[in-house]
Amino acid sequence: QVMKMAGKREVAESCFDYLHFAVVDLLHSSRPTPEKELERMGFEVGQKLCERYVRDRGFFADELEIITFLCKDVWTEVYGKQMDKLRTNHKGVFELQDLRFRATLRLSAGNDKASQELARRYLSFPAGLIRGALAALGLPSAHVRADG
Amino acid sequence: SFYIVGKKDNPLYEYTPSQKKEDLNLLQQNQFFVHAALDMVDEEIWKTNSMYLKTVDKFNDKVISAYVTASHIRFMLLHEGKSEESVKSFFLEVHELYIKIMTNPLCDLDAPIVSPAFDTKVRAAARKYFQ
Repeated sequence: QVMKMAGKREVAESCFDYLHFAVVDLLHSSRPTPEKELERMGFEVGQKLCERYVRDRGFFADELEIITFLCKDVWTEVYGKQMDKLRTNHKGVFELQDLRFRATLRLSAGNDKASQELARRYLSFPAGLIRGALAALGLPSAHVRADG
Repeated sequence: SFYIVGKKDNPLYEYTPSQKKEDLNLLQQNQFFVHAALDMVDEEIWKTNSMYLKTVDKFNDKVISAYVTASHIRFMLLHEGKSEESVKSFFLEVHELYIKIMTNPLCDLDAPIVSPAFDTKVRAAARKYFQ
């Protein structure tokens, strides 16, 4: 008996993880400014994904609402979980912490600086994603910095 | 006439059902009305939480309805008093079409929409809700 897959077509999440690893490695070994390109990719993806995610809701009342939306809904859609911590100094700086970040969760490495540098490469794309989402939702001049 | 206006008040899409030549003058006038109505839209969005803003401005016998997405893209419709329900349904359907076309990675969010498929679908939606 043939079992048919009913409903939406799905792809394993790990496909994206592997693709991300491969793209990071490729760009870092063949392009002069890999961080910028990864960040730009993330930016475009973030913008477009956000158009889709805000389909059913109206305007955001303020910055905090945008950031909260980012932490909860967008992060859940993209990474399957919400952001673990959100801190702010109320002067426009927000710190978002994800304690079990998918992109770096399964990298095996020591705790020394060199490995951390390497791990940091995988943060360009998500940083761009956040920046793109913010830009689409009304904060186009945000700066996003990612730290391991 | 139906217009999609982007974040920087740049026009992304325009559709006018009429084809007559004398209406070209009217077309420019319509664009002017819609542009002026953008200010009214900016006021209204802070007053309500929904995306559909109903009628934001009136001009002679024409009325302008608006719909704003959370990403600040505005859909404006210039018409002569169509029913609220059909206008709202039209906006919702065009919003769906907009999202679908914007998820194309080769598509720029700030550039005018030139896809003929999008155009055809918007026309079909207009016929469906307004005829």
